[in-house]
Amino acid sequence: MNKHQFMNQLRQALSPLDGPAIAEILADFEEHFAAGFSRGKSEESIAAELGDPLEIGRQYAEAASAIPPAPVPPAAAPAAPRINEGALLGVILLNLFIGIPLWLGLFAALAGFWAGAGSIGAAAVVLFVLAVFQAGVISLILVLFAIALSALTILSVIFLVYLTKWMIKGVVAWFRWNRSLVTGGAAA
Amino acid sequence: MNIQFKKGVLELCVLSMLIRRDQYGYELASTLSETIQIADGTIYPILRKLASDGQVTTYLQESSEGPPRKYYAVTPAGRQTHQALLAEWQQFIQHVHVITGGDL
Repeated sequence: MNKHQFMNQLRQALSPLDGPAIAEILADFEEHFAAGFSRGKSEESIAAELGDPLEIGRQYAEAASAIPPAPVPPAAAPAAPRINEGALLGVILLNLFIGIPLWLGLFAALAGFWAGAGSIGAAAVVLFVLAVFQAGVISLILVLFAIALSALTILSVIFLVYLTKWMIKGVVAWFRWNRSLVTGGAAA
Repeated sequence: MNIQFKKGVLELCVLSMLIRRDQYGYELASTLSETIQIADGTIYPILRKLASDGQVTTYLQESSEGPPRKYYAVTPAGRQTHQALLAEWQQFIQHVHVITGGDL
């Protein structure tokens, strides 16, 4: 490859750059050839030592496209939850008229069930105590009733433990859903 | 080898040479290509990047044997970059020595 061919290929490879930059770069290579000539080198050997002009041009184009060091928008990474005001108002109204009454009602019912289970348990204890002071068939009947009530209490407590867990999960899910509505589903 | 890594090393070499004395492109290119066998043309995109980053400045000086030559001189910012690159490089080769020396 002679100088002319080298410079032409380099100019082509530099075409993505602006005019002044291309002129400056080509001047640098003109100077390089001139310096080589003054050392008695041939065009061909200087061009060969320079390497592939297309590759050199690609390096310039790459560096030029990277020169405005693309400022990474910092807002994107630590995403503060974006609040959607309309959705926020909707969620507040939803909770005011449905959410709070619904959950208060459900928890009041749950508290009632717990109180009921407690009463049944208390009744069983009372029957056991009464049975101690009675004799014969009456005592036997009281004990049987007490056992039945105890069994009912245990079953109620087991059921209520599960019910309480479900309701707590339900409230958490409700809050998550509310939050996702407000933040446009961005919050995990 | 990683192209970014190679460019970083070439930047270090160019800055090191310019700290010793101002040089023109052909000098830098021929020294580098003689010692670490890279194509002469590789140096020019690096010089341009160093200049646009303010690591080096350029000036023209008449030459007895032809047209004026563009000389490159390192700036204070370039000296700082050189210090940082040199420290990184020394740490890197130290780690390579430890691994190749079988100490790991």
